[in-house]
Amino acid sequence: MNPITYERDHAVFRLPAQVTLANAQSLRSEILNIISQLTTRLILDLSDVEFADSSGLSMMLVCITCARRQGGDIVLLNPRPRVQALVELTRLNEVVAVMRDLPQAVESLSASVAA
Amino acid sequence: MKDEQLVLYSAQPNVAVEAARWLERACERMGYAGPRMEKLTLCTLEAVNNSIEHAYRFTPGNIQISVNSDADAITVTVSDYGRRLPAQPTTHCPSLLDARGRGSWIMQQWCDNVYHKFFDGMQHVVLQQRLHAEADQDTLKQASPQLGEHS
Repeated sequence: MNPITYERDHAVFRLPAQVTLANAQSLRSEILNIISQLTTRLILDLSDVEFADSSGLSMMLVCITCARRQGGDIVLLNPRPRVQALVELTRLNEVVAVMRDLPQAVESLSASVAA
Repeated sequence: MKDEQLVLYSAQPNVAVEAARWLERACERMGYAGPRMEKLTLCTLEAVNNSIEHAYRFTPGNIQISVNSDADAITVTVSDYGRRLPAQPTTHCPSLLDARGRGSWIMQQWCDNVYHKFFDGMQHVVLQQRLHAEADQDTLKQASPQLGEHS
């Protein structure tokens, strides 16, 4: 299944079951490539993520920073409870919007980019 | 008391997640489940990452994960033969962009006890959750008779 879907003004990237030290670098490259080549408005879908660690969250923050520097933004979508707990513990939720469903995520992305 | 052990090689792909999945199954066999168990699993994943990234930075080696439970606590020990690393107690949440300290912070927040030991040429990171601490309802509902009755 293609992890990336494109809409008119944004893309949705579905992250794999693990977002950890083992694959954080490769995911970062992939996401940064999307930001530089395709769109700076990106939704990271965490619905499938079973395991995320601090390296995975750090990767997301790097990508968020990059997107914002280029006038775009990233929104996180539907993390599972254990991932949400980590997002809150590390305060990543104070830096990035975390939404429960896709319409909310799209709306949040539009609002943040327009601001 | 129940205990189980797993040995993995640090250069294996996805070794930390494999350790986390194994620990989840081991905890469930011991009657320990729910959000607190998931936090213990993530702490173990972070400890294994530290072994891979720091202790075995230049030369790979074996990582041993053991878990044991008794009436009072469930204890996970992550052990390696790699470079000795100083413990990094942190008093504040490190930035996600900091190269070190994030894993230690998470372990300290989500475990009741975290400590480091060095003996027999190995360093050990011990992660412990007390069963008498605020256990979530899921844990209580799913606890085995040996672990239950602790409110």
